[in-house]
Amino acid sequence: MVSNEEVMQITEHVLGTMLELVTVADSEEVLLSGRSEAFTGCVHISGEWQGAVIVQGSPELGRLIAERFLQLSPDEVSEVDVIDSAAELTNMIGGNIKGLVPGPSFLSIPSVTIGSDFDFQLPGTRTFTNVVANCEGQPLRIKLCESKS
Amino acid sequence: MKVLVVDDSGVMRKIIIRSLNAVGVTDVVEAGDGEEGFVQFQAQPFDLVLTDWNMPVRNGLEFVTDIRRTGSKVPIMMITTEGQRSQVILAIQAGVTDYLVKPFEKESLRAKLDKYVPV
Repeated sequence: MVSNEEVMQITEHVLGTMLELVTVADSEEVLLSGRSEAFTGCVHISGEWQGAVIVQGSPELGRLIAERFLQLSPDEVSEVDVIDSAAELTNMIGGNIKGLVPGPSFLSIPSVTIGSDFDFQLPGTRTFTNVVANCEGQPLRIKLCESKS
Repeated sequence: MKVLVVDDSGVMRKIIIRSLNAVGVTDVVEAGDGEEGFVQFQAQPFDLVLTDWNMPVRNGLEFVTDIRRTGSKVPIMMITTEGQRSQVILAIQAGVTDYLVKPFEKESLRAKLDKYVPV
Protein backbone atom coordinates (compact mmCIF):
# COMPACT_ATOMS: atom_id res chain seq x y z
CA MET A 1 0.00 0.00 0.00
CA VAL A 2 2.73 2.47 1.02
CA SER A 3 6.26 1.48 0.07
CA ASN A 4 9.52 2.25 1.86
CA GLU A 5 10.50 4.33 -1.18
CA GLU A 6 7.38 6.50 -0.89
CA VAL A 7 7.96 7.08 2.83
CA MET A 8 11.59 7.95 2.09
CA GLN A 9 10.55 10.41 -0.64
CA ILE A 10 8.13 12.16 1.72
CA THR A 11 10.75 12.34 4.47
CA GLU A 12 13.38 13.75 2.10
CA HIS A 13 10.85 16.28 0.79
CA VAL A 14 9.73 17.48 4.23
CA LEU A 15 13.23 17.83 5.66
CA GLY A 16 14.66 19.28 2.45
CA THR A 17 11.89 21.79 1.73
CA MET A 18 11.18 23.08 5.22
CA LEU A 19 14.60 22.77 6.84
CA GLU A 20 17.11 22.45 3.99
CA LEU A 21 18.43 19.23 5.52
CA VAL A 22 19.71 16.41 3.32
CA THR A 23 18.29 12.98 4.10
CA VAL A 24 19.34 9.70 2.48
CA ALA A 25 18.18 6.14 2.93
CA ASP A 26 20.42 4.09 5.19
CA SER A 27 20.75 0.34 5.42
CA GLU A 28 22.12 0.22 8.92
CA GLU A 29 19.57 0.02 11.72
CA VAL A 30 20.68 2.34 14.53
CA LEU A 31 19.34 1.69 17.99
CA LEU A 32 17.62 4.89 19.07
CA SER A 33 15.68 3.74 22.10
CA GLY A 34 17.86 3.91 25.17
CA ARG A 35 19.75 6.94 23.85
CA SER A 36 19.42 9.86 26.18
CA GLU A 37 17.16 12.60 24.75
CA ALA A 38 16.30 10.69 21.57
CA PHE A 39 12.85 11.74 20.33
CA THR A 40 9.86 9.64 19.32
CA GLY A 41 6.94 11.35 17.60
CA CYS A 42 3.66 9.62 16.83
CA VAL A 43 0.59 10.59 14.86
CA HIS A 44 -2.47 8.36 14.38
CA ILE A 45 -4.49 7.97 11.21
CA SER A 46 -8.11 6.90 11.59
CA GLY A 47 -10.94 6.31 9.14
CA GLU A 48 -10.95 3.98 6.13
CA TRP A 49 -7.39 3.06 7.08
CA GLN A 50 -6.33 2.75 10.74
CA GLY A 51 -2.76 3.04 11.91
CA ALA A 52 0.03 5.31 13.01
CA VAL A 53 3.20 6.98 11.80
CA ILE A 54 6.16 6.97 14.16
CA VAL A 55 9.18 9.22 13.66
CA GLN A 56 12.29 8.64 15.78
CA GLY A 57 15.55 10.54 15.75
CA SER A 58 18.75 11.03 17.67
CA PRO A 59 19.11 13.83 20.26
CA GLU A 60 21.44 15.67 17.90
CA LEU A 61 18.89 15.51 15.11
CA GLY A 62 16.15 16.74 17.44
CA ARG A 63 18.21 19.80 18.28
CA LEU A 64 19.16 20.42 14.65
CA ILE A 65 15.50 20.29 13.58
CA ALA A 66 14.59 22.79 16.32
CA GLU A 67 17.45 25.09 15.29
CA ARG A 68 16.26 25.11 11.67
CA PHE A 69 12.53 25.37 12.33
CA LEU A 70 12.88 28.16 14.90
CA GLN A 71 16.05 29.79 13.55
CA LEU A 72 17.85 29.47 16.86
CA SER A 73 21.54 29.10 17.62
CA PRO A 74 22.54 25.71 19.10
CA ASP A 75 22.84 27.09 22.66
CA GLU A 76 19.38 28.68 22.49
CA VAL A 77 17.51 25.39 21.85
CA SER A 78 15.47 24.14 24.81
CA GLU A 79 13.82 20.76 25.36
CA VAL A 80 10.42 22.35 24.66
CA ASP A 81 11.76 23.60 21.31
CA VAL A 82 12.86 20.05 20.44
CA ILE A 83 9.47 18.61 21.44
CA ASP A 84 7.51 21.24 19.46
CA SER A 85 9.74 20.82 16.41
CA ALA A 86 9.62 17.01 16.51
CA ALA A 87 5.81 17.25 16.77
CA GLU A 88 5.63 19.45 13.67
CA LEU A 89 8.02 17.16 11.76
CA THR A 90 5.88 14.13 12.71
CA ASN A 91 2.73 15.99 11.70
CA MET A 92 4.12 16.89 8.29
CA ILE A 93 5.48 13.42 7.53
CA GLY A 94 2.33 11.76 8.87
CA GLY A 95 0.04 14.16 7.02
CA ASN A 96 1.76 13.48 3.73
CA ILE A 97 1.71 9.71 4.30
CA LYS A 98 -2.03 9.99 5.05
CA GLY A 99 -2.49 11.09 1.45
CA LEU A 100 -1.22 7.67 0.31
CA VAL A 101 -3.46 5.42 2.42
CA PRO A 102 -7.11 4.66 1.58
CA GLY A 103 -9.40 7.52 2.59
CA PRO A 104 -11.29 9.28 3.86
CA SER A 105 -9.09 9.34 6.92
CA PHE A 106 -8.19 11.75 9.69
CA LEU A 107 -4.92 12.72 11.32
CA SER A 108 -4.56 13.00 15.09
CA ILE A 109 -2.66 15.70 16.93
CA PRO A 110 0.99 14.53 17.23
CA SER A 111 2.50 13.34 20.50
CA VAL A 112 6.22 13.36 21.30
CA THR A 113 8.32 11.63 23.93
CA ILE A 114 11.92 12.50 24.72
CA GLY A 115 14.25 10.52 26.92
CA SER A 116 16.01 7.22 27.30
CA ASP A 117 14.17 5.09 29.84
CA PHE A 118 11.06 4.09 27.93
CA ASP A 119 9.82 1.53 25.45
CA PHE A 120 7.36 2.77 22.83
CA GLN A 121 4.68 0.25 21.84
CA LEU A 122 1.49 0.44 19.77
CA PRO A 123 -0.51 -2.64 20.80
CA GLY A 124 -2.77 -4.15 18.15
CA THR A 125 -0.68 -2.94 15.23
CA ARG A 126 1.84 -4.46 12.87
CA THR A 127 4.74 -2.59 11.32
CA PHE A 128 4.62 -2.82 7.54
CA THR A 129 6.95 0.00 6.58
CA ASN A 130 10.18 0.66 8.42
CA VAL A 131 12.46 3.24 6.85
CA VAL A 132 15.92 3.83 8.22
CA ALA A 133 17.50 7.08 7.08
CA ASN A 134 20.44 9.33 7.69
CA CYS A 135 19.79 13.05 8.00
CA GLU A 136 22.96 15.15 8.03
CA GLY A 137 24.83 12.23 9.61
CA GLN A 138 22.18 11.57 12.25
CA PRO A 139 19.94 8.49 12.45
CA LEU A 140 16.24 8.83 11.68
CA ARG A 141 13.59 6.12 11.52
CA ILE A 142 10.05 6.33 10.14
CA LYS A 143 7.64 3.48 10.83
CA LEU A 144 4.16 2.99 9.48
CA CYS A 145 2.07 0.71 11.69
CA GLU A 146 -1.28 -0.70 10.58
CA SER A 147 -4.04 -1.71 12.96
CA LYS A 148 -4.62 -5.48 12.91
CA SER A 149 -8.39 -5.14 13.33
CA MET B 1 -2.72 45.45 8.11
CA LYS B 2 -3.85 43.02 10.80
CA VAL B 3 -3.47 39.25 10.41
CA LEU B 4 -4.89 36.36 12.47
CA VAL B 5 -2.71 33.22 12.57
CA VAL B 6 -4.43 30.07 13.84
CA ASP B 7 -2.38 26.90 14.32
CA ASP B 8 -1.98 24.51 17.26
CA SER B 9 1.73 24.24 16.48
CA GLY B 10 3.78 27.01 18.04
CA VAL B 11 6.55 26.15 15.59
CA MET B 12 4.31 26.74 12.58
CA ARG B 13 2.98 29.98 14.04
CA LYS B 14 6.57 31.22 14.44
CA ILE B 15 7.43 30.25 10.85
CA ILE B 16 4.34 32.00 9.49
CA ILE B 17 4.86 35.12 11.61
CA ARG B 18 8.49 35.30 10.47
CA SER B 19 7.27 35.34 6.87
CA LEU B 20 4.65 37.96 7.69
CA ASN B 21 7.30 40.14 9.32
CA ALA B 22 9.49 39.72 6.24
CA VAL B 23 6.76 41.23 4.04
CA GLY B 24 6.25 44.09 6.51
CA VAL B 25 3.31 42.79 8.55
CA THR B 26 3.86 43.17 12.29
CA ASP B 27 0.29 43.44 13.58
CA VAL B 28 -0.39 39.74 14.16
CA VAL B 29 -2.74 37.95 16.57
CA GLU B 30 -2.18 34.25 17.35
CA ALA B 31 -4.62 31.50 18.32
CA GLY B 32 -4.02 27.80 19.06
CA ASP B 33 -7.26 26.29 17.69
CA GLY B 34 -10.37 27.14 15.71
CA GLU B 35 -12.45 28.03 18.75
CA GLU B 36 -9.87 30.45 20.13
CA GLY B 37 -9.39 31.79 16.62
CA PHE B 38 -13.10 32.53 16.21
CA VAL B 39 -13.18 34.35 19.55
CA GLN B 40 -10.33 36.56 18.30
CA PHE B 41 -12.02 37.00 14.94
CA GLN B 42 -15.21 38.26 16.55
CA ALA B 43 -13.32 40.58 18.90
CA GLN B 44 -11.49 42.67 16.29
CA PRO B 45 -11.33 43.22 12.51
CA PHE B 46 -8.70 41.37 10.45
CA ASP B 47 -7.47 41.90 6.89
CA LEU B 48 -6.23 38.31 6.45
CA VAL B 49 -6.68 34.98 8.26
CA LEU B 50 -4.13 32.16 8.03
CA THR B 51 -5.24 28.83 9.47
CA ASP B 52 -4.20 25.21 9.81
CA TRP B 53 -6.75 22.42 9.18
CA ASN B 54 -5.98 19.73 11.77
CA MET B 55 -6.34 21.32 15.19
CA PRO B 56 -7.87 20.28 18.50
CA VAL B 57 -11.18 21.64 19.88
CA ARG B 58 -12.40 23.14 16.57
CA ASN B 59 -10.61 22.34 13.33
CA GLY B 60 -9.73 24.72 10.52
CA LEU B 61 -12.63 23.73 8.28
CA GLU B 62 -15.13 24.40 11.09
CA PHE B 63 -13.36 27.67 11.86
CA VAL B 64 -13.60 28.82 8.22
CA THR B 65 -17.29 27.85 8.14
CA ASP B 66 -17.87 29.87 11.33
CA ILE B 67 -16.24 32.94 9.76
CA ARG B 68 -18.24 32.70 6.52
CA ARG B 69 -21.48 32.33 8.49
CA THR B 70 -20.92 35.82 9.84
CA GLY B 71 -21.00 37.13 6.26
CA SER B 72 -17.33 38.15 6.38
CA LYS B 73 -15.44 38.20 3.08
CA VAL B 74 -11.98 38.38 4.70
CA PRO B 75 -9.35 36.46 2.68
CA ILE B 76 -8.58 33.12 4.37
CA MET B 77 -5.50 31.07 3.53
CA MET B 78 -5.34 27.47 4.73
CA ILE B 79 -1.84 26.10 5.41
CA THR B 80 -2.02 22.34 5.92
CA THR B 81 -0.64 18.89 5.13
CA GLU B 82 -4.04 18.03 3.59
CA GLY B 83 -2.91 18.02 -0.03
CA GLN B 84 -5.45 15.69 -1.62
CA ARG B 85 -7.68 17.23 -4.30
CA SER B 86 -10.85 16.18 -2.47
CA GLN B 87 -9.67 18.01 0.65
CA VAL B 88 -8.78 21.17 -1.27
CA ILE B 89 -12.28 21.15 -2.80
CA LEU B 90 -13.82 20.77 0.66
CA ALA B 91 -11.83 23.73 1.92
CA ILE B 92 -12.81 25.92 -1.04
CA GLN B 93 -16.46 24.95 -0.54
CA ALA B 94 -16.15 25.99 3.12
CA GLY B 95 -14.91 29.42 2.03
CA VAL B 96 -11.12 29.23 1.86
CA THR B 97 -9.62 31.80 -0.52
CA ASP B 98 -6.11 30.39 -0.85
CA TYR B 99 -4.37 27.12 -0.02
CA LEU B 100 -0.78 26.11 0.76
CA VAL B 101 0.30 22.52 1.35
CA LYS B 102 2.98 21.70 3.94
CA PRO B 103 5.86 21.26 3.46
CA PHE B 104 6.41 24.48 1.56
CA GLU B 105 9.41 26.60 0.63
CA LYS B 106 9.72 29.97 2.36
CA GLU B 107 9.44 31.66 -1.03
CA SER B 108 6.09 29.97 -1.70
CA LEU B 109 4.56 31.37 1.47
CA ARG B 110 6.06 34.81 0.81
CA ALA B 111 4.65 34.80 -2.74
CA LYS B 112 1.19 33.93 -1.40
CA LEU B 113 1.38 36.64 1.28
CA ASP B 114 2.49 39.24 -1.28
CA LYS B 115 -0.92 38.90 -2.93
CA TYR B 116 -2.66 40.17 0.20
CA VAL B 117 -0.16 42.66 1.60
CA PRO B 118 -0.58 46.20 0.25
CA VAL B 119 2.57 47.65 -1.31
